[in-house]
Amino acid sequence: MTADSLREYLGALESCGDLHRIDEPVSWNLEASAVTLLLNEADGDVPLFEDVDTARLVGDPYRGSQRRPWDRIALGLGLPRDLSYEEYYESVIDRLKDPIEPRIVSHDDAPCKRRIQTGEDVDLLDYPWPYIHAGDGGRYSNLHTLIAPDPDSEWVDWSYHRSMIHDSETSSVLLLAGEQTPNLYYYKYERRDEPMPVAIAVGVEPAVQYTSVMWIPTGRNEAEYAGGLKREPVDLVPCETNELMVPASAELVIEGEILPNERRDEGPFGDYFGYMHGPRRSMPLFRVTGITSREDPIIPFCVEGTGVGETENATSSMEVGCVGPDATLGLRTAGFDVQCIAPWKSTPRTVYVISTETTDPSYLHDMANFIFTTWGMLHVDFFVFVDADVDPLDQRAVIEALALHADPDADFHQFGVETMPKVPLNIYQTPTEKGDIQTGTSKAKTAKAYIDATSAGDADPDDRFRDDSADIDRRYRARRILERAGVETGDLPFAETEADR
Amino acid sequence: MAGKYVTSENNLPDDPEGEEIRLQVSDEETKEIFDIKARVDRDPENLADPERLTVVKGPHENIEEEWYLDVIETDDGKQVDSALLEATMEDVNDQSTVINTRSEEVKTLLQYLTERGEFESVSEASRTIMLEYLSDAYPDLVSEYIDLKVESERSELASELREGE
Repeated sequence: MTADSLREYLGALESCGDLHRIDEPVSWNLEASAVTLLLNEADGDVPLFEDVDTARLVGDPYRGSQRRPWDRIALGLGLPRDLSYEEYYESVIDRLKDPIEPRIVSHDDAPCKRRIQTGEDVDLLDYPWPYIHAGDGGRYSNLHTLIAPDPDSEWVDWSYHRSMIHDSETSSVLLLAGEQTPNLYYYKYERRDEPMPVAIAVGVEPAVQYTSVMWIPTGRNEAEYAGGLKREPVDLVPCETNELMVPASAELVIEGEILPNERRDEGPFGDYFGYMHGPRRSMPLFRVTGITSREDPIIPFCVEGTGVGETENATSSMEVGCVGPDATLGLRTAGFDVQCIAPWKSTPRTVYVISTETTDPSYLHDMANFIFTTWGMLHVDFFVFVDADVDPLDQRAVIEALALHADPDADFHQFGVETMPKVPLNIYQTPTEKGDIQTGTSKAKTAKAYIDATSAGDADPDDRFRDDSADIDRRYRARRILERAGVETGDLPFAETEADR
Repeated sequence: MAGKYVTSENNLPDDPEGEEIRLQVSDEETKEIFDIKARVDRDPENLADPERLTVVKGPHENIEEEWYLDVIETDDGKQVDSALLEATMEDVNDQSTVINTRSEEVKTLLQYLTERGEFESVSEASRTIMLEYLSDAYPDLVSEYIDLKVESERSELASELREGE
């Protein structure tokens, strides 16, 4: 059965022997994250810290086992833990195809309303937000769902953006243009000089957490997809100080608004690349107007940066277990033949591997274009395409496909040179290239890339240079696609004009 | 080991030593982030009551330098006195809301704008312009006022609903 709350999910972990309760008082200042880091590295249990000043913390609760990163995420959906990744993927895809409308519950029926702070009572520092890495710019909430509405429609986006706590009433939020909520803020609210109402729901039920890391197309009701994953409606309840609806089962809800044309320092922070990243940048200011919670709330956090190499954390496991199936469904819905998409293990978000039956180069280019202009715009640097019978989660199989089938002359493609936005947390751009611009992304735009490691590209050498008129149509189409992507095709051997077809 | 306060090199002006400056700092223990007015110096002997300030530098802020500071003010001096504001709101509730001021210059300019059609009346002009100025010059005060007003209206409505039950 799908867990109805974070607490119920932790109970399920405990039943499997995967939860470790720590009764001794633990400090939010590096100690909780250090213990979690060591457990992540040791592929151990999930730690629940029962005594952290005024509340409780749980470290990387959705971290899967190193061998099967989706297994605990499956538990949160009531799926068997021993499903193969194919079975798991297809189960999640099936559920996402069947969204279920949320249900509104009353204030009294909402567990997240047991304690309420508004007005002068609001104090963010009442809660033990963790200081996660030495050298971070501040304490962070970094495993939550950020809820923000489109001012011009009924659409409400659920997403995730880390937030650095400043004082009792304010925090800064990492908003990078190119993602859905930041686009709402920078290009609608801030341009109109209006505050964006926001709720940050912390410690939500698994189906809601999984949905908030998925890419749900703009305009679609995120709560319905969470309901689909859960196979029953998600309960929502109105906020106290704004008009947003929030998951009623959340451990804690921070209500407020992100103000236009105000910036505060955000970072440094050790983020998913695995490195301490700075310097601090100027990010939008979140002003808190209300905090509601359960009794004795549990605040989840992620030791970001440990999801690299062989180690898993909540982020890396959710990329495999949540983003992977969602992206697969998204591409199939857009008409692309995709067997499976998965992040290349050890690189949460940066590199994705896609297995596909259809390996025609222009088809792969169309697919890359779709991904780089939607969910892959900011975080994904390059893709590797492999045959349908190659397991994207199998490191060795992917490297073997690269070594055997990727011709450096023909199969390595740059995309959108000097035009694609870049997440500024990368480690290969200089501080000058990153800058500190108004909309958060790096000042210098870069390229993306994809590698065709499918075997069908291994044409007979004699065929490569044949001048077959049946290819003219394909070459003309290829030229048009490349030109749209900004490639200068004048010197390439393509059909010149429509008349040549 | 970090000092009591931590700040970034980016938060210090050029040649800050000896000057009274406003800077953003973090409290090393609580990690709270706030603005203070202080004198900073690398040499504690140059300060009256020095406390340790760690200045972090470099593209990843992982290089630390030990400085010192004398705290002059821990807020920006414009912190809103909520109790006073609330009391003022109650007083004004019982008073006339007419504001009187005598100025030939202001009257002339406002009347000109009104006759040009930018405002419906001198009264509307003065109201609009004063509120715009207050929002720009005293944003925290205006924000606190709105919060208190909303809270007061919410409490009033809640107690009316309870009486109606």
